[in-house]
Amino acid sequence: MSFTYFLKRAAFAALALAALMTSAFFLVRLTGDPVNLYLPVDASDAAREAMRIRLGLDRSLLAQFFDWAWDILSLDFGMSLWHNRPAMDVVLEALPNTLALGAIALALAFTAAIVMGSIAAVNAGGWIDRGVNVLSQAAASVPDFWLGLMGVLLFAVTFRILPTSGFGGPIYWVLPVACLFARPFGTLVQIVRGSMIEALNATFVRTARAKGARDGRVTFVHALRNALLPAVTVTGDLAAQFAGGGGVVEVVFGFPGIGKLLIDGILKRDFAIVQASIFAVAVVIFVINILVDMLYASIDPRVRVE
Amino acid sequence: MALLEVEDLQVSFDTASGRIFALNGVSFSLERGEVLALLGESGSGKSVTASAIMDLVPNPPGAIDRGSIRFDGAELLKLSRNERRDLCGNRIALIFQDALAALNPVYPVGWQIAEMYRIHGRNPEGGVEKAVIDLLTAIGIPDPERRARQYPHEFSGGMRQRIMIAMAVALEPDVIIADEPTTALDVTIQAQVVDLLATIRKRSDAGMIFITHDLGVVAELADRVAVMYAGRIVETANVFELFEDARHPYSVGLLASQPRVDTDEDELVPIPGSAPNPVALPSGCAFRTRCPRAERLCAEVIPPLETVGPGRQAACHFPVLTA
Repeated sequence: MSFTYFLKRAAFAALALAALMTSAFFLVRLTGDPVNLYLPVDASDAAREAMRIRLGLDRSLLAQFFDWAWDILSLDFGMSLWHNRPAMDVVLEALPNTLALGAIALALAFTAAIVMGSIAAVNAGGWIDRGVNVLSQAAASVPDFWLGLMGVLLFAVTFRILPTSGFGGPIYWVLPVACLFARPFGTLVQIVRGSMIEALNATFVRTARAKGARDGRVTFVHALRNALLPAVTVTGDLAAQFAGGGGVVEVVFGFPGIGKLLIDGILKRDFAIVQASIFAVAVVIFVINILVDMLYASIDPRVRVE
Repeated sequence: MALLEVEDLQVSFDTASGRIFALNGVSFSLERGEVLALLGESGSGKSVTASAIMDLVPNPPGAIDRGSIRFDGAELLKLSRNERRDLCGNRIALIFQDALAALNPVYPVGWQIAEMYRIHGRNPEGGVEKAVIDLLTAIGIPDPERRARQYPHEFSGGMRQRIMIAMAVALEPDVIIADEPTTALDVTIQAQVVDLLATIRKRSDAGMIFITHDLGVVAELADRVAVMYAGRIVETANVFELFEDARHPYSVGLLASQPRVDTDEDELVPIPGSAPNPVALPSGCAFRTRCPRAERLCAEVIPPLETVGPGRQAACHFPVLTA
C-alpha cells in the first residue's frame, strides 16, 4: 500500500469527518436546551439567561457554529457540562474500554467461527454441519439485550457467580464479551462455511491432494486462506460497528465505554461529550478500515496489484 | 509386470438425473518409459480415469464400483486414504489442464513447488530452496530467484503450465499423468509445453499417461494410444498403427474429422450425431447410434476389447480392415 494511496484515503476521510461533525453539531442541538435540564424547574429567567451566556448558547446558531468549528480545527472539543472536565479527556478514558471489549469479543468470534465454519464445510451436509448451522443461526439472530438480561438473570442473580454490572477485574468482562460475541460468531460461521465449501471445491484443492497433502493441510493451509477474505470483510464491518460502543450491552451492564458515554451524553444534552465521542469513533473507524485493507493485501496477493 | 495396470475399472456418479457411469470397465496398462495417450472427446472418461488413479474421485457423489488399479505390484484400491496420499505427488504425479485454477492463488509459486518436498519429507541435496530454483531454471523460467517469490497471477499462461509441470516432476515420480496440459494454451505456447514434456520423457524413465483430444499432440508425444468412448476403451494401438490403420469405426471417424498434413485428403468428415447421454447409454455398443457399420448385433451385445493384432486391441464386432 503506497503512501499516496494512504494520503488519498486520509483526505477523503477528513472530508467525511467534516461533514459528519457539522451534522453532529446541528443534530445535538435538536435534542433541546441543556439549561432546562441542568437548572431546577423553578429557576429564574435571569439565572437561565446567565447560564446560556456562560455556555455561549445566547448567540446566533451560525456564530456558535463558526466558533465551534475553529475550536475543533485546533482539536479543542470544549468542556463536558456534566463531568466538568475537557470532553476529550472523558472520551479518551471510555474509548479504550470499548475498544478492548470489542476486540476481545471479535477476536474470539472470528477464531471460533473459522474453526466451526471450517469443520461444518468439511462435513457439509452431515449432522455436524446441521448442528453448527442451528447453533450459528441462533447466535446470529438472538437480540443482544435479551442475551444480556438472560445472562444477568442466570449467572448473576440465580448462580451468583458473575457481577450484574459494573467495572473492574476480568470477571466484569465475561458477560459483556459473551453478549457481544454471539451475533458476530453466528454471522461469521455462516460466511466461513460458505466460502470454505467454495474453496474446498476449487481446482487448487485437487492439486494439493494430487501433491499428496493430507486432509488437515488441504483444509487449513490451502482452502482456508482463500476462504478468509469474506470473513475479514465482515469482521471489519463489525469492528466499525463495535467501535461506536457495544450500545445496549454497555448500558445493560453499566460498562463504562464510549457507547454508554454517548447515550448518557445525549440524554444529558452534554453537547461537547457527544461531539468528542463522534469524532473519536470516526477516527477509530477510519483506522480500522485502513487496517482491514492492509490485512486484505497480506491475505490475497491479487489485491496488492489492483 | 507393467508399471501401472488398470483393469475393469468402473466409476459412477450420483446426479440429479440419475446414476451416471463415467467408466464402464476400463482396462489398460502402462510400462516404464512409455507414453500412453488417452484419446477421446469430452465426457469419454479420460479425466475420471486420471482422478481414479490419483484418488481424486469425489465421494460422494462418485464411487469406484469395481475394478483394480495396480501400481508397481500394489493394489491401490486396497490402500488406506493416507497411503494413497503418500504415493500421490511422490510416485504418481498429475499435471492439470488449467494451471491458473490449479495453482493456489495466495501462495508464491516457489512455495508451492517446495511444498512437494515438504509434504513428502524429502531433503534434496543443497536444500529445498536450491532444488526449486534448479527446477525453475530447468523448465526455462528466466530470473528464477525472483520469480519463485511471485504469485501465479503474475505469470503468463504458458509459464504457469510449466510451473505445474515442474511441480509434478519435482520428486521424479514413476508415473506422470498429464490431463490435457496444453488445452488451455494458444498454439505456439502449446508447442513449447509439448517440447518440455518431450524433454522430460527423454530424461526420465517414468511412464506417462497423456490425456488429450488433440491428435497432433498424440502424434508428437505418444508411443501408444488408447481411444476412449463413453467410459470404455474402444481401441489400443501404437501411435503409427492407429494413424495408418485404425480398426474401430470411432477411431477412424476421429482421424477423419481432424486436419492432417500427411495425407492429400482436404475434406474433414465430422462424426455424425453427438456423444451419447451418459444417463441413458445405448444398449450394446455405445457408439452404434453414430456408427456407419452398425448392425443388429451391435445393439444386443457389448463388444469386448479383443486382440486384433500384435499389441493391439479393438472393441468392435465389425472392425475396419484396410488392406
